[in-house]
Amino acid sequence: MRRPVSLLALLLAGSAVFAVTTGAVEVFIDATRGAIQKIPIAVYSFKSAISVPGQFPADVLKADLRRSLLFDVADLERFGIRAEVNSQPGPEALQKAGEAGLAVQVWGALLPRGSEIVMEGTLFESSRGEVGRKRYVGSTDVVRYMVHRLADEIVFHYTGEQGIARSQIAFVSERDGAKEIFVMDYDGYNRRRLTFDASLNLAPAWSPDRRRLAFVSYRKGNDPRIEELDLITGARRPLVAFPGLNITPEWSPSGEELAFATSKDGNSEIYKVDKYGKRFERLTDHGAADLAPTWSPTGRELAFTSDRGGTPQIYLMSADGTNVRPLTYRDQQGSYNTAAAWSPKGDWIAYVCRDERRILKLCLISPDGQQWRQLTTGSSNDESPAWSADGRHVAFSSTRNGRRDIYMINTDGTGLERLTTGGTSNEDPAWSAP
Amino acid sequence: MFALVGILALGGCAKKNMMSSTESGGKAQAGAAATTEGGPSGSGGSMGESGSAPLQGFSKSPSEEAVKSPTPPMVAKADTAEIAARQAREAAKRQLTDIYFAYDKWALSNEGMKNLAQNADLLRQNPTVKILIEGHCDERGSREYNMVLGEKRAQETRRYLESLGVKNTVTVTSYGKERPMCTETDESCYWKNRRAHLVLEGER
Repeated sequence: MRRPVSLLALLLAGSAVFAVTTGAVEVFIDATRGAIQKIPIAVYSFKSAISVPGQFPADVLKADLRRSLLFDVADLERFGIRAEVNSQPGPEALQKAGEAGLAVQVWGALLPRGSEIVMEGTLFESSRGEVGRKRYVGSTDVVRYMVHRLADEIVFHYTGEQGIARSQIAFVSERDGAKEIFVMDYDGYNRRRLTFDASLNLAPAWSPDRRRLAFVSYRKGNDPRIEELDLITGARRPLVAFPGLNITPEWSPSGEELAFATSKDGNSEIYKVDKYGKRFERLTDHGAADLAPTWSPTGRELAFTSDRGGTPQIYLMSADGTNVRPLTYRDQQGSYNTAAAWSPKGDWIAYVCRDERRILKLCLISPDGQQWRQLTTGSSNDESPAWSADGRHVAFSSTRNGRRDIYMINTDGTGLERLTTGGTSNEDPAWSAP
Repeated sequence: MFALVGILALGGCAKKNMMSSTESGGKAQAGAAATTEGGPSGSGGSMGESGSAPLQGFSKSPSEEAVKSPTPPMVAKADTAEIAARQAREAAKRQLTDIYFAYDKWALSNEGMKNLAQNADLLRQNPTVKILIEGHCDERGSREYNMVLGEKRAQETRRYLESLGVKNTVTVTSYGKERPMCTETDESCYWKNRRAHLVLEGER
């Protein structure tokens, strides 16, 4: 579904320089590379004939476009351009924005239709004119989702990638001494509670089709087991319920298998099971603890935590359990490295590293071990890294504001955003597909 | 309606410390196997119904796309009988002296062994009593690894009791750092959380 788009027109309007394939008119922004030139974009206030103010969808759209890290959202006032528009920006505003180098311009309108509303969005290029429009219909409750869809369409138009504005984050929230599973939009809005067990529910994991959540539950007693909740039917069933600990579930990229750790053999070992919960396969066999598997995007390899070297470190293995080798080393990455999360782009593995102050931080290492860097700094405990589908953000839990909450950060350490409040604590994020 | 209130309150201000309160809407559905959004099923392509509908691209004459909440607000039914039974079980438990551990360690300390010897006397005198050993950890380990560290502490405790001739039924489990005694961020609290917690589970 990659759809090439002509960027030459954009280049004429602004000073942006992209990697244009020589001699080719149709080019693509390679969104996977770091440090690309961002596209300057103007977002006007939406014309609104309903009770939702037009500034609201514009603000949501701007935030989405900023988080895509592909667009430089312009402050229109700075260029003497009125952000408020009547149905659409006048020719003068469009020209002025084009002259200011804003290659792309977006506006929209909200109109009532019976009990529903219709939202229309227009994508415009300063040198080409209107690219096209989108028209959405739904209840007033879903204006945010209309805007998120529009944002992802814009990202898709220029990159061929799905965008992340429609994605969801599942997490664990502590309430009244219990830990329950919640879901929220990727920007922290529309928090919804999924479990009411008055027990401990931990470590949610999305199926790639977003239909099912696997998580660890203590509700049946002392042996935590892995359960699955179907988000369409509400059906709930145990997937892994051996005697002992059954923890750290993670769906394979195809959604056909679930990797997890169980201590049914006496110590924690990594297994996988098919999506029906029937066919089990043991992957590790070691007297030390092996746990917390994470799949490579191809599904051919797994990274996991093991203390077979004396302290917990990250190891790699093939998806059939062969070819086990260390990725982090005590003398290079420190004495305590756990909870790996493989980027959906494959280029990084995020994990929890512990510094000499015994504080948990997030680190990044390339799967070949050649590149390494610390992602978060400061004196808070940062844990449970989870990647966005575009591989440009990591959600995690942090104690940086005195209590444990969920944050997101860009892979270069910029763009820190707090996503949760409420409850006693919020932790263990899992980020869905778009 | 909750979402709309939240949206209006937040209009023009994208501050993350002001969250909308759809949660109360979710709570209202507790115990009810929730409303689905209706609408056609099985038309979502490979993403399934709960995933996003596929993007359509821009068009000069766009067709209308219906937008719904991303996942149906489906909640897991609360099992009130199960919760009540669990709480009764918890209330019936009696406790023995906790056994404490050093940072990152699961080996027993001398003091731990001494306390376990006292526990062992009691257990030998009541051989039909079942015992559960819960392993716990302080917050300076990662939540995943602490699950197995807690289990190692509980297993080590069981091994030592058995070496002292205890024949009672002993089961072990771990709560990692999910159920701390205290939450202060200094050693005065950390040591209390690095423990094996022994509970008597009633007569066989």
